[in-house]
Amino acid sequence: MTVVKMENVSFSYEEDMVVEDISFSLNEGDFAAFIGPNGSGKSTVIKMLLAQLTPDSGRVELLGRPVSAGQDWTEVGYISQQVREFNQSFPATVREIVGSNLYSEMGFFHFLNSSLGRKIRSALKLVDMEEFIDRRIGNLSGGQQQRVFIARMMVNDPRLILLDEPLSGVDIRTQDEFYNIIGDINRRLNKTVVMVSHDVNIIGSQANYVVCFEEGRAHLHRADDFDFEDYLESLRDSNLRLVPDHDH
Amino acid sequence: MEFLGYSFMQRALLAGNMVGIIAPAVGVFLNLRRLSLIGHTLSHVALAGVALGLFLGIFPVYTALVISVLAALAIERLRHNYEDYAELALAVILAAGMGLAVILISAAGQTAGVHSYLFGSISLVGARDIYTMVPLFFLIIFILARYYYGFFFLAFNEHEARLGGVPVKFLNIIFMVIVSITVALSIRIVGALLISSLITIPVAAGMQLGGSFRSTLAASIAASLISVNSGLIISFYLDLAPGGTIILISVSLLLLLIGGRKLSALF
Repeated sequence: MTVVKMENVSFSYEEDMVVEDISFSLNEGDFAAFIGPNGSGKSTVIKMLLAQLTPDSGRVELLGRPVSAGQDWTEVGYISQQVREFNQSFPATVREIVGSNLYSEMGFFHFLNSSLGRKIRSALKLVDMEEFIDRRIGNLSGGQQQRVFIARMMVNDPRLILLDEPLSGVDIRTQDEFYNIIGDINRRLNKTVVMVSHDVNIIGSQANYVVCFEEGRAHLHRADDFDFEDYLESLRDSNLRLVPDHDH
Repeated sequence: MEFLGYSFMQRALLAGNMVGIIAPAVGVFLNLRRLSLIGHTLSHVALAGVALGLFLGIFPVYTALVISVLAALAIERLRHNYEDYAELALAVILAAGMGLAVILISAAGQTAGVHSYLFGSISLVGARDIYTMVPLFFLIIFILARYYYGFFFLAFNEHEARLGGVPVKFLNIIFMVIVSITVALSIRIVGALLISSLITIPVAAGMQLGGSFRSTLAASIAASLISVNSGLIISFYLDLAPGGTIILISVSLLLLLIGGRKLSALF
């Protein structure tokens, strides 16, 4: 089934056209990597998928329905660029952080119960963080916090996962770990993943599609057909063009 | 236990304990959202409400409630419309509230009555205060329990709460309403000038102790109840203003906890 569909979508901030006539669609189980320089429209597309921005023209569909602010957002998992910019001394345990995402499954009084507790445990198991359930979030390492936020996203069993450059400022090992977990979730649980990243190499090993952004336009490639080496090479060589010439 | 024999003291303790529970309970969420200035602003606006009541001859707690709920809704609107200048908007409302209060107080010509609302009073908590407070106390507890994890998510990350299924806009409004009710009710015990301290200091103490959010909440309420009860009793025997006594005890408690933590880190 089609999970993400964009049809002739355009968006501009005042005069500045940031997304121009984009069309692509992704099916269940696809892993698409959004690549391209800053300001090429990647994050704007993510914001439109989250109904934080409304396109000037065109259609955006999630899970077969037009996207709307009032839809059931528990079907969509999202990790943002700012995921780790929270108050590190915030007094909350991993259980409370992951559990808060189950808000819509709580009863009349919105507290956690034992069946929700089991869901929290199995989400933490997915990222191998079960034994940290009662630890305070601020006392964990960056990589561990990253995994807690993956668990928070997965606790709702979302059908679509949107990752907007969640890896800025983390070390290579943590990045690798993150890609492996997400890749695993994509393959084993057949979740559709859209990930914005600058890291072309690693994303190439997980993604089956590459959506290449350039000055507001986007082009979908099969990852197998996309020449990452060439792409990287020309990125290095060229100061003028951030996205090199390649066939679309 | 001599103080329990006085009916005014019984009322003061009852009112004090209700305020002593809801002020830090609401305060935990407010402080973690870094909105504690809102409590301070609302207390000045509530004072204008009290002054309006004195001026018009209406029970001042009623007018304080109405005015502070209205101001809280205005603040919530401003907070979103002027996100980058939210503090400026609060400072303007605070000043306007205080200015209005001063004018109404001088126009009403009863400065003696105002004194108890500025600094708190144990002898003046009447039956009408209790009748007003009891239902509102239970309403606030009910709302906090009903939306507990929603308020938690808003405190942790307001922007991501929507994707967790939290009705952000609705809960923000409800939250501002319960903050304003808490402020208006607290005015009787600790006085307008010290309400924001009762919302913040026990919470600061609770954060020294709590590991989880729930235990922080419980520790904050405990710190507040210790301060309120000992403060009321001390001010009864020494004839001190209860607001100041309560706050100084809670500050001492906070300093003790910080000192204790520093010491335990050393050994």
